[in-house]
Amino acid sequence: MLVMLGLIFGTFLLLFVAFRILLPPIYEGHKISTLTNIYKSLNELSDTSSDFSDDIVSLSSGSNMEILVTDNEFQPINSTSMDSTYMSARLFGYYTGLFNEEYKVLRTKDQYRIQTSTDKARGLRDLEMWGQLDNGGWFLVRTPVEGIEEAAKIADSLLLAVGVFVFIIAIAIIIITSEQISTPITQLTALSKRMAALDFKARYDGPSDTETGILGENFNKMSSQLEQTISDLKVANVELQKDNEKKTRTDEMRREFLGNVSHELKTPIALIMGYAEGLKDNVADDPESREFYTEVIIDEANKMDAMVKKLLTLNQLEFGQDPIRMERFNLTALIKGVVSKMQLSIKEHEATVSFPYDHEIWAWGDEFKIEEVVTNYLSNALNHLDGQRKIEIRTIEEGKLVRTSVFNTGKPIPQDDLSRIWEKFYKVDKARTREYGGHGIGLSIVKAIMDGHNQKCGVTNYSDGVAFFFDLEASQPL
Amino acid sequence: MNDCKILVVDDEVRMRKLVKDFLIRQGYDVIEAGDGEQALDLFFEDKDIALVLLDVMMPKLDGYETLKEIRQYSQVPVIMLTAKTDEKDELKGFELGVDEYIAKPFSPKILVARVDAVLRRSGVTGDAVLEVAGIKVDKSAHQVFIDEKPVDLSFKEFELLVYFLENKGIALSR
Repeated sequence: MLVMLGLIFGTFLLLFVAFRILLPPIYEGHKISTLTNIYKSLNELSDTSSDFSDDIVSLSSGSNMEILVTDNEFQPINSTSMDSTYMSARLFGYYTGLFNEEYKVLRTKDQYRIQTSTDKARGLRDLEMWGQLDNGGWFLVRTPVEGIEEAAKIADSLLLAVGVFVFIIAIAIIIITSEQISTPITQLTALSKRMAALDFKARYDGPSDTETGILGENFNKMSSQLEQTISDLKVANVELQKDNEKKTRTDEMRREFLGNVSHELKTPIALIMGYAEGLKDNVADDPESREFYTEVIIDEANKMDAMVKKLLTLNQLEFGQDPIRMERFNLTALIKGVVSKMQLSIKEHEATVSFPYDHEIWAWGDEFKIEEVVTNYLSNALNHLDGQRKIEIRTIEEGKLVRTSVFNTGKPIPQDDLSRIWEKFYKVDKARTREYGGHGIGLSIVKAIMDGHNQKCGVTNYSDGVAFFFDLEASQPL
Repeated sequence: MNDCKILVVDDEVRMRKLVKDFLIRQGYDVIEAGDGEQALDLFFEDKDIALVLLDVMMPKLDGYETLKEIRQYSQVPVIMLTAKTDEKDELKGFELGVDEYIAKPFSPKILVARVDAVLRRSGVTGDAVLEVAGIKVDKSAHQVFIDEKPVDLSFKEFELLVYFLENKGIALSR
């Protein structure tokens, strides 16, 4: 803006100086050539006639000049001047060189001399040309210099006025245009600051046809790219964190699992070691005691074996190495099969098992694994049997699902333990569980199997007992 | 042999039987408890109990809680039995005032030897005079005799000798 103003100011200064310095010589040159032409015209006129006063009037009128033509005796012949006598006297004075007025010669030719002089009587400066015509007559032409200087002054003030006016207009135009240019740039600057602070709501919404508009559009593109990239990064970061948490959880679970397993194994190992040592040291000295000691060792070894087998089953289920094979099977027949297989154990526990049904029910599932679930429920029911020693198995059709429940009379499960019984190694009554050879893994296996089927399993407490259930998708008989 | 009464607390019947069999063979009287609550009941009923063998993981009241209760009223020697091998658990036991700590699985013979040692150290079975291979130590008088001749020993030497004699037949760690 300042540069532009300076440029305009400079232009005017230059014009002003040019006027002041160059105008006088140019004007003078112009006048001199006019004078030269007049001399030529006078020469021609004097050749043809003696009286040409009308002609010199027309010559002088165009250029504000006074012309005097005399004969060779300096007597005026033709004149446009009001005071031709005075002029002829001056002419004579110049000729004789007696004239003591100051003058400055500008140009001298054989026939004429051009000079500036100051007429003290009039107090004016004149540009004069005087000399001898070809016919022997003399002439004097003069024009006042004041005119030139006045014109120059007027031109100066005009220039100044125009200059100021143009200057003001220029300033106004510059302010307006610079506003137009700088406003969007100021906006963009503010925008870029917000974008740098990752404010993705910041958007350029001005016109897009100007350069700043294109810049603004690019800002928008950059911002959305940045947003995309950052959001991608954040997603990746969250995933990474999740993975990390998952890994930590898995590690924790593994550590817990190993701790549980080793703890679970320590009791049977301690018993086997101790009873074996007892046998060796003859602590049991009668055959009956020895028999008991041997039985304990065998039984504890069997328990360990059973536990390892169950753990392997559970591991395979949990890691999906033993996938669920869905097929249609006769659920009623399966339950009856399990009950008859466990007949011996049922008798041992003095239990009454009832399984009422009016028609056979078919379901979708992995027959082998569902058999394991039913076996688990039934043996749990037997192991926790109390009171009336009744076990009741039911299959209830509920829409598309069939729910199998195994109820046993006995003590309800404490409220605090209800949600934890599906956890590995969790035992409500540790001593009792060990007594019947449990490890707290059975229900975890049930849960893993039912999760594999994508079906529910659960437990309900009753005042006189507990019912475990699982759901399956019902199907038409084959 | 010494008719001391020992309370064995463990929720595992077979473990109790095993420990009991070994202790009885050594001449101890044994009473059993299946959980912490039962153990406390028996302990406060019977004032003759000379030592408690306490399992940590038990239903109702665990070993630590039982020990805390006992320690409020009695300085009876307590040996803890546990499958937990964490140093933290061990330390917790000692902070609560346990005399010995035995990790499962263990050898019943060692267990019995430890029981002997703890009882001797606590002075229950500790005879005032120990006599082994001609060396006679009178603990109350702090005198040592070899073949009836008195021997001068420093305090440390005396303590060490007594310790060795009391732990006869047991491999000792430094």
